[in-house]
Amino acid sequence: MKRLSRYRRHKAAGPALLIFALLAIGTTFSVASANTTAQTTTADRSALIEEGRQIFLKGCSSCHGLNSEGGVIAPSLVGVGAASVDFQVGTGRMPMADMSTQAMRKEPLYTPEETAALAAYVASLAPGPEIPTEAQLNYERDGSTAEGGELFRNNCAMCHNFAGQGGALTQGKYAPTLMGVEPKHIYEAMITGPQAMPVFSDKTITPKEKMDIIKWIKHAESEPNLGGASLGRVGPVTEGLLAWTFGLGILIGVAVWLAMKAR
Amino acid sequence: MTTEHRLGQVANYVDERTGAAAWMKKNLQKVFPDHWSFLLGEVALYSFIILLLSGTYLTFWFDPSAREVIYEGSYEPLEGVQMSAAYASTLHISFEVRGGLLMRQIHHWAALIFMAAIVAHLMRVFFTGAFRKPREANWIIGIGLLTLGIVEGFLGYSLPDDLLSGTGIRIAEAIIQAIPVVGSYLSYFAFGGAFPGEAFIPRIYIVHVLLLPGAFLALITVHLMMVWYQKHTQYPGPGRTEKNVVGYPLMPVYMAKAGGFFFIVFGVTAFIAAVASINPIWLYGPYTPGQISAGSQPDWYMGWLDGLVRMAPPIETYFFGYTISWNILIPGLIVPGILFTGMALYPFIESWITGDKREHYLLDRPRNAPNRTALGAM
Amino acid sequence: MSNEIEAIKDPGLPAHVHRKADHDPVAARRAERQVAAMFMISALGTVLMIASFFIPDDVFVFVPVMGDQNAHQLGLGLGMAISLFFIGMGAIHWAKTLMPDQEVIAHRHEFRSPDSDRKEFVDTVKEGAAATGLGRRSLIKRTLGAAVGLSAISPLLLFRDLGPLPGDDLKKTSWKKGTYLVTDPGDRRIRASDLEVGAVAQVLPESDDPEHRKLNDIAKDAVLLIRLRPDEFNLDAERLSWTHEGIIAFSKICSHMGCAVALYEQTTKHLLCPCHQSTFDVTRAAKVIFGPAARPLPQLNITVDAEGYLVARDPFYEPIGPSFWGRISS
Repeated sequence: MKRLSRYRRHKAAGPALLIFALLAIGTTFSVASANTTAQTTTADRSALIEEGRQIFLKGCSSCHGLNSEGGVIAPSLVGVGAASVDFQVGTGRMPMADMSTQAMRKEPLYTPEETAALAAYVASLAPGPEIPTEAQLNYERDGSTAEGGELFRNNCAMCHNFAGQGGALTQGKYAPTLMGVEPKHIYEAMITGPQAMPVFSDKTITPKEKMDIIKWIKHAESEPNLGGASLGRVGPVTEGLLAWTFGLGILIGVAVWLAMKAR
Repeated sequence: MTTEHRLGQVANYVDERTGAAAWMKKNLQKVFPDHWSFLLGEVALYSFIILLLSGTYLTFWFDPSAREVIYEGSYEPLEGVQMSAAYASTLHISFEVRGGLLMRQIHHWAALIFMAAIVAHLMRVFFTGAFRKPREANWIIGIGLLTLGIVEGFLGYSLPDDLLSGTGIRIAEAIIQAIPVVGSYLSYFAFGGAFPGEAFIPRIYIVHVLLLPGAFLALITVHLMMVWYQKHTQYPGPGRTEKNVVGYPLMPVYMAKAGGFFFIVFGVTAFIAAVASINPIWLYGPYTPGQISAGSQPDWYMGWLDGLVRMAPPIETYFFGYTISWNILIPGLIVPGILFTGMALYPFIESWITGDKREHYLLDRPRNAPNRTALGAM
Repeated sequence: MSNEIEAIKDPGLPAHVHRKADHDPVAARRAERQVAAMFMISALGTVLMIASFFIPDDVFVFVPVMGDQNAHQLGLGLGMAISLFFIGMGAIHWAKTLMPDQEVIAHRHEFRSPDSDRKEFVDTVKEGAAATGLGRRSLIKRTLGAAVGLSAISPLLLFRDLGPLPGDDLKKTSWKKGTYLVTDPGDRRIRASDLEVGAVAQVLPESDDPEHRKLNDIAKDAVLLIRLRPDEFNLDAERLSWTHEGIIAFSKICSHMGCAVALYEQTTKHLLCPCHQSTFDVTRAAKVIFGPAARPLPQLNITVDAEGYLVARDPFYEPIGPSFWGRISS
C-alpha cells in the first residue's frame, strides 16, 4: 500500500481511479442482477405454463400488464403466439433494455428453458403463431438457394439490404442485420412481424418458400467475399470512402515522396 | 555496332522523313517543376489509361444485351434465375474467366480513383489560381472532363444491369421524363420505348466504350498539349519568377519519375483491386423494376446529385392538365446546370470581380488568396 | 503611409545541395543496389501472378482482418500489384538518387505574337474574305446559309426511329377490371383470408405467360398489398370502398422517381421509399408525409370474387410512377 500511495499525485491517478470505480460498480451490478435471475429459476417447476406465468409476472408484467393486456408502453400479448415470445426473448430483444424506438438484439436474459416456459404461458392465453417444427426448419435438405434469393430480393432486401446487412427505416427505426441469426428466429420473425416488420403469412410466403429464404440467408452469411474484403456489403458508399482515403491517400503519399529531394 | 551508332541510324531514318530532330531535342529538354500537388492530374491521367486497358479487356467477354437468358453458370445462388445477357456475361467474367474479376475490380476502382483524382486536381488548380490567364480554356476543358467523367462512370456501372445500377437508371429515366413538353418523348427515344426496354444497355455500351472515350482522348490531348505548350505553373520561391520555369528536364528525370508514377498508380489500383471487393453484382441480383435494396446509393461522384434530389421540396405545379415537377427538375437539371456552368466560367467571374487581367505563371498559396479560398471551401 | 512597396529582389536559386550518392561512390552503389532490389521484387511479383493463375478457384486462405480469401484471386491481384508497383518505385528511386537533380531554368516566352505578325494575319484573313466575294454576292451568302442549315438539320430526322412515340403508354398498366392479384414470385392467386392484419404481399397482375413476364410490364404493374384493421383507415367513403376488409392495394412504383416502394413499417403504417426517403401514410391512401415525392401512390380498387380471391375492380384511376408533362394533374 505504501508503494502505491507514492503515486497518489501522479497525473494518471485520477483517470485510473475513475476506470477502477466504473469497473467495480459494473461488475457488482451484473453479479447482483445475475443472482436475482438465479432465484427466479429455482421456483416451482411443476407445470411449464405456471412457470412461464411466474417469470412473466416478475419480468414482463410491469410493462405488459399483469394479465398481458398491454398498456401505454407495451402491447398486449394475447394472441401473439409462442413464436413471438420465442423470437423476442430468444434474441434478447425482450426484456427491453432501453425504451427507445426499437428493441435491440442482445444477449438473451433468459435461458432456453425459461424462454420455452414463457412461450408456453403466452401461447396459453390465446391461439397464435407457433414455434416452427423441425420439418419447417429443414432448409438444408428442402430449401433452394436460388429461389430463396429471388424471394429475398422481392420481399426482404428493401428493408434488410441485398446481402441481409440491415437498413434504415424512419425516425430511428431500423431493419437489423440478418447475419448470425438462428434459422428458427428468422422463421419466427417472418410469421410474427415483430415491431416495424410486417407479417409474412404462410399463404403469401409458403413454409417451403420460407425455408428457401433461410437457406439463402445462411448461404450469404457463409459465402466468402470473392474479390477481397467485403467493405460491409453495403454498396458504393464504403467503396468511395476507401478510394478517397486508402487509394488517393497512398498515391498522394507516394507523390510527396516522389517530389522530395533525396538525401 | 554500338548502341549509339544504332540509335543514330534510327534517328537519321526518322528525321529524313519528318524533320523531327529539332522539336524532339527541344521537347526532351522541356522543364517541369517538381511538387507533389502537380501529380494529382497525373493520377487522373494514369487512371484513365488503366481504364482504357482494363476496359478493353472486359469488352472481350461482356455481352451488352438485354436479351433474357436463364443462368447456367457456376454461381449456385443464381442457378436457373432469369436475367439479362449483360448481367450473365458479367457473372461469367467474375466467376469463370481467370483474371476477369480482378480486371473488373481494377476497372471499377480505377474509375473511383480517376474521379477522386480529378476532383483533387480541380481543387489544387482552384486554390492555387492556376486557372487564370492564359489557362482559362484549359480550366473549361477540365470541367468538361469532370462532367464527362461523371457520366462515363454512371454508364459504366450501369452496364452489368444489376439491381443497384438498374435502380440508378430508373432515376435517370425519371429525370428525363420530367423535362417539360418533350420529356416522355426523349425518354421513349432514349430507351427505345417504355422503361426499361431492351435498347438502353446496348446504346449506353457504345457511348461508354466508343463515344465518351473518344471525347476523353480528344479533350485530354488538348488539355495536356496546352500545359505542355504554355509550360506548367510553379509555386513562388527563390529563383522562380513569372518569366521562367524551374525544374527538371523531361529526359531523363521527368520520364523516369512520371513513367515510374504510372506504374505506381497501376500497382496501387491493382493492390486495392486484389484486397477490396467492389460492386459484387452477384449479391445484388439482376435488375427488375419490382425490387429494391435498402440503402441504394450511386457511386460517390454521383452522391451530390442523389443528395440534391433527396433534399428537394415536394413541389409540382399543374396547369391546364400539364405537370411541371420542380422536385425533380430543380435538383436534377437546374441546380447542376448552374453549378457546372458557374464552375466553368469561374476564371472569367474572378477576373471580372478582381479586375485582374494579367497573366499568371506563379501560383498563389491558398492563404494568399483568402476570398477564393473561402469560396472554394464553401 | 508610404505607397511604395520595395520589391523583394530575386535571390536566385538557392545553392545546390548534393546528395550522398553524388559524392560518395559507396552511397551511389547502395542506391543502385536498392533500385535493383526493387526491380527484382517486381519480378517476383510477376512470378506470383503467373503461379496464382493456376491455383484452382476453390482454395481459400485465411488473412487476418480480411477473413477467408480466395487464394487464386488474391495471388493474381497481389502479384500484379507487386510487379507493377516496384517497377515504379525502382524508377523513381533511381531518378531521385542517381539521376542529375540539378534544377534547370527555362525561360518563358511571351505568347503574344509580334505586331507585324498580327497585322499580317489580319490582312491575310481580310484578303481571303474579300476574295470569296461574299460581301458583294449576297445571293450566294443567303443560299449558302439555307443549304448548310437544311443539310445539318435533316440527319436529325434519321433519329426518329430511336423509339416509338409514348402515346398513352405511360398512362396504361395491365390492370383491368377483373384482373386477379397474384404473388410475386410464385404467381398464386391470393385470398383475403391469406393475409393477417399487419401482413404485406408483393403482387403482380395475373398473366397468361407468368414464366416470361416482361420487365416493361412489371415496371408499371407492381403492386403492394397491405392488411390493416378496417378501423385504422382514415379515408373518404369512396377510397374506403376500394379496400376490402382492411386490405388496401397501392402501386409499388414510387410517384417520385420510380423506385419500388416496398418498405412497410407495421408500427407506424408508413411506406418508405429507400431511394430518396419519401414516406407515405397507408391509412390516408398513401399521402406523402415526408420527402420529395409530390403525389401519393395511386391506390388500386380491389374486391374479392365469388371464391374469395382478390381481384381488381378497375384499372388505376391515374398514371402510376413518376410525373411527366402530359400527365393529367391529380
